[in-house]
Amino acid sequence: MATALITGAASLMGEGIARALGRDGWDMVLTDIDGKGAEAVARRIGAGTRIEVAEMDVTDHARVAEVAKETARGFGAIDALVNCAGGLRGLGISRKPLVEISPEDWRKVIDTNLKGVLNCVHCALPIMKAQGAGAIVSIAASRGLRGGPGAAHYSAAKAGIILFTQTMVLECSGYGVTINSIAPGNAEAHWKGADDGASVAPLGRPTSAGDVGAAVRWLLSPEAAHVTGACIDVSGGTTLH
Amino acid sequence: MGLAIVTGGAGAIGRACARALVEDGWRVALADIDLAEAEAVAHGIGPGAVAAYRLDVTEFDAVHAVAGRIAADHGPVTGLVTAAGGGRNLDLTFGPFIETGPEEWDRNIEVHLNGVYHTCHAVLPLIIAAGGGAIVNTASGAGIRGGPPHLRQRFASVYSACKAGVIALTQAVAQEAGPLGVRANCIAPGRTETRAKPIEEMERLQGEEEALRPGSGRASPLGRFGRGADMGNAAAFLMSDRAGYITGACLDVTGGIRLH
Repeated sequence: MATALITGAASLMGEGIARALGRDGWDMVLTDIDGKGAEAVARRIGAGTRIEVAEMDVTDHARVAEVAKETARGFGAIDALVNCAGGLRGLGISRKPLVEISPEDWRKVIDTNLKGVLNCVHCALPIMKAQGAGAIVSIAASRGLRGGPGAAHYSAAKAGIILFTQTMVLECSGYGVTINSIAPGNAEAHWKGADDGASVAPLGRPTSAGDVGAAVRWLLSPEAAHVTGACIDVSGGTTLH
Repeated sequence: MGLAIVTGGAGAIGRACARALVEDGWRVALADIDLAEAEAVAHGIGPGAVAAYRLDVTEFDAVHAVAGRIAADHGPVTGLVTAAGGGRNLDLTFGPFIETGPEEWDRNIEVHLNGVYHTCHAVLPLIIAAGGGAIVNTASGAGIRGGPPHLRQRFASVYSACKAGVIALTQAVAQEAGPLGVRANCIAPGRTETRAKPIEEMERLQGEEEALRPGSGRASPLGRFGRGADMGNAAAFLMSDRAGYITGACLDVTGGIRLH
């Protein structure tokens, strides 16, 4: 069966993605900076497919390279990479106007969200190129489609993911790899309250982990074989707000 | 009008922005990593270019120090144009992404994305303290849509990400600082002359490029490459009162190349 490498798998969204892929029979390597959290997710979903867990900080290029290599060796391939690690308040950083953002916070947000994706794509893509097939889905954000107040760093990093994705599609023409992104908005998270942000979504509720999982599952399915360079807005219309 | 800081003021785009602002009645302080060249540019522009400063936009504390010095030396700052960037001194290979590495990405990100954060972080409070003003950040056509044909040839993946980040950062600032009387917009140059590669050189290389990869040599639907002055005019417009109700915008100054 095909193998997916998922980052940020201990998050609610990462769990939603893993559950969705499990339903399609994907074998998975669940990675997170919180290795115990990823193990708990693996136990909870018990998808009936092969699941392994690796503690991995996406900002550590050497560790990402190691996990990518181990995945390819252990499973025979990396058929899909799902970049879900990232966030703002989930990193313990509060929303602030740009003039109040410290260089440390700026760096942490850019490193985790943007450079984390660069690291993972850099390590997985050569393996996919050698296979002549593969699919990459990165979790961007509605804030990346339109920058928002209090989140200049987060907006910049997520916009960067969307444009990096588009450019890589053109660069990797001939690799047999599709590369897309997804833009959730006001997504559910472990650390959020129930009604956080729901009021600004035209559909009246936050983006659920299941919504994101369904979009990832579709992008990794044969039905989306001709979809590449896209950024699918799964924000319930929040981007338009 | 008032006093504006132009970063990358010695570069082709920065100097053209400075010149256009001075023509509109702004006083301009040029800041660039190449102080000697920035001084030469200031001298060439004349009295409206009040001074030149050495500035490395990758150094957070130094950017704050220089911004403070400019305000102390020349009075309230009401404008900012960020035009620092480009390949000079950065040793960017613009090779295929999988053949590059984290050190090269870092150099790219430090200048093209973090540098804009550093500069806005230092100068925006000065503009707010002065009662309001305007900011123009230099993004790129590559930040609006990934891999326009000319940049695709140069593997601009991380550069595109940085420039998209600049656009999103500017949109955030527009919303945060709008109520404080500050407008923030971007210009997005396309295939534009640089100090290292003036327009005559680009035209000379055009034929060679076209022969190597048909289609890649095309300048733009307007049939020519971008001049520094094209960017200066666009920036000066966005900085002026004529653009008084424009904020959070990204003005495409690519000569239509993104439509290819």
